[in-house]
Amino acid sequence: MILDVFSPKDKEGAEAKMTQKDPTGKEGPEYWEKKAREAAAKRDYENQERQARMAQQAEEEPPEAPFTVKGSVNLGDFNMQEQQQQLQATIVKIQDDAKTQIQELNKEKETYREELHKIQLDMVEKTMKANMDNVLVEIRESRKPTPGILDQIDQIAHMATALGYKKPEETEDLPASLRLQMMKMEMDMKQSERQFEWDKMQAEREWTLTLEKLKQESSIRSAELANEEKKRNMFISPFESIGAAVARGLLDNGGQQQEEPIQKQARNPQKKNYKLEANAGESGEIDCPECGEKVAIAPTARTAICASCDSKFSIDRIPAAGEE
Amino acid sequence: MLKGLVANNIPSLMKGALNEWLTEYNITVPVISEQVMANKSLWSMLPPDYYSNIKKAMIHVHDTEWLDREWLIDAVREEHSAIASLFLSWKKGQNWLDRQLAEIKKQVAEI
Repeated sequence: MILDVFSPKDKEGAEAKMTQKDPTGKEGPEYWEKKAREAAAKRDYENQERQARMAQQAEEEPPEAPFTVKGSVNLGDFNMQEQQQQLQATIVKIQDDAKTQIQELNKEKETYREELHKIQLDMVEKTMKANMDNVLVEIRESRKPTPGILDQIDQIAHMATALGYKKPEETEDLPASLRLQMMKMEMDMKQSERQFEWDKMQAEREWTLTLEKLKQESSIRSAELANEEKKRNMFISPFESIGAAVARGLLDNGGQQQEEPIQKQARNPQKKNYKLEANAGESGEIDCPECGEKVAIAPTARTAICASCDSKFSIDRIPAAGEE
Repeated sequence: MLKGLVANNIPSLMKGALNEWLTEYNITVPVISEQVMANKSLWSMLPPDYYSNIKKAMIHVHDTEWLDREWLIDAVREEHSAIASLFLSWKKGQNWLDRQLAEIKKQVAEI
């Protein structure tokens, strides 16, 4: 029989038993040592049994969490058809809004395009005007005499002064040899300027003389031509004039007077040959290089003859593409 | 006497008239070239109103033998050198001109 020595009741019984004498008469340390081992074994057994019981209890009833959250949420009633209808209505509304916005944007785009077009036209007009102004200015500038090198230097100096640059003053602390060299250079420069001016004057004088000479020659030639024309007019057949007058009368053009027929140059006895190139079937008129009169190129002719000076023009016909 | 003087100078009168017509109607090389290439009749282009005037003028003209290609080229050589040049060098143009002059002479004789 095992007694719980921790229980006071059993303890008393145990103590009484312990105080009893061994019925076998074998009292002594072996007896008590045996009793102690039995008690220790009993304790170990009880401990192990208790631990097993606690572990089983823990498995059956797990310990509660330190704290818990409890509550509920009501998500309401879901009507899918209604939601779909609302969604469709929303989509239609968004589409309508988008269309309206697109239309407005298109209108704005058109407006901007028109404005851009106007701006471009204005810009082109202004650019053209500016270009025309520039061209006019350039033409005016080109008509102006080109300033000489000295004028240009003066202009540059004026511009530099206006910009705040000052002409470096002669420093007296320069070495004498350097100053001498500078003075020499200045002298050379002035001399070359004088030479340039002199050459310019000479050239202008010569040009003026040449111009005068040419003018005189031109006036003499004009006078000669006028005299020649007068002479020819004196010898013109009066009947030709009458014929012209008759023709004018027949034409009945309101009595408009025609200019006097221009007398042409005398025919050149020396015939010259020239070569021309023309496309097949091409016709027209050219100026005779000899006398300046018009020479006709007939559509199929291989030669042309100046009626005034009898110069002959051989025409090389270039065959058209696809022709031999 | 005046009639005789005019009759003797008919070619000169015609020269002046011809040059005046060419100028007035702006007859140029391209115009004539086109007429030649198309072989058009000059006489047919003359307005019928002119027939009476030509008839009056022809009273003083006894002879039209002088009216040929060489005369015409010479007549226009000074004032319309391009036209003269055209007929000087272009055989086809020369043939056309000969035909036209022959027709004009025939028509004038019939008026």
